[in-house]
Amino acid sequence: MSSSRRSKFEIWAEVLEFCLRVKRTQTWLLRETRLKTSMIRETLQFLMSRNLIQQINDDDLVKYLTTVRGEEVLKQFYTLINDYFDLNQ
Amino acid sequence: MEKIENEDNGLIQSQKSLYLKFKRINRLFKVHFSSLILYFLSASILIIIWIYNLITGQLSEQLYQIYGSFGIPWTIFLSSFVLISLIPIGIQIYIYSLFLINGTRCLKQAKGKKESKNALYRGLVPYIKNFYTFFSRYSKKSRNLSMLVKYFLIINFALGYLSFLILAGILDFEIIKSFHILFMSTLSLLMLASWVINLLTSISIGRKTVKWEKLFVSLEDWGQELKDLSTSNFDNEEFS
Repeated sequence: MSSSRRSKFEIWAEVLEFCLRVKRTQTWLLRETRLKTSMIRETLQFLMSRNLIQQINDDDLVKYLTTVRGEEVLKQFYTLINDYFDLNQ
Repeated sequence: MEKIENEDNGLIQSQKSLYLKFKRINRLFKVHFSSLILYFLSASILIIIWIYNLITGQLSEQLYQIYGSFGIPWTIFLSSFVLISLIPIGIQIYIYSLFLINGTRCLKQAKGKKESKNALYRGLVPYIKNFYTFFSRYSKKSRNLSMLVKYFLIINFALGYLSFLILAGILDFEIIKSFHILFMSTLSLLMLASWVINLLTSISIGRKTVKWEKLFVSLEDWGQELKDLSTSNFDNEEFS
């Protein structure tokens, strides 16, 4: 029941998280994110161009893994959200 | 596969903190949603019984004794008002139900797939996505979600007066021992109780909604920062 129109930051954060510490194929990402092929390719290209994700050849399969830089960016994302969900404020 | 060796990893701690906060927020919305349902059901059943009793003439005599000639018109007016007020309650139930269904599913996913306490939490980004969808679906240029939540709060507040009026009206009847009146008194007390809970949760959600709306602006800024990231100075670490 996901929205048909999603913001880019949601997609980037989701892909970064999916590829964190576990190598994922494009097919796997397509299934989990429910994005169009063109959109997932565009996302992966964008994240690779910023060195947030790296492409790895694993047994003749192309897989993707979040880099250390990507993990740092994801940490910033979570820190930002944590501040806004502080229920005591 | 997703285990890490360093237990002090900041990301895990951050995720754990966020997961706990999301659980509390989800609980708040569940209580709010449950109070809406309870109010809706008890008010609906009460009005049906009330109208039935009016039509069959079981209440006419008592109403005349208490209110004179205004008894029945006043009752019809009150019942109609309560019926109309159920519409915004129904709208709120619809709005919050989708949010809750998706949110609960995301939190179950976050809880279910963890293999150890040091494993990553999955399902948190989908929960944030669910939040963002909820906000953007009901926010328009002329009105944002926090204003809508405030309108609901005012309506919910006004419903309290109706609940008091109905309860007072029922308790006026001398024939309290009649099953009908006893049942209606119980229903109106339930309405009142759910109204109190709903008012408290509405106030809490209203306050938080204002803050959460600012979050999405910050997240858009985060996205913009990613776009502005340079492509140089990349890490040379390799993962096997």
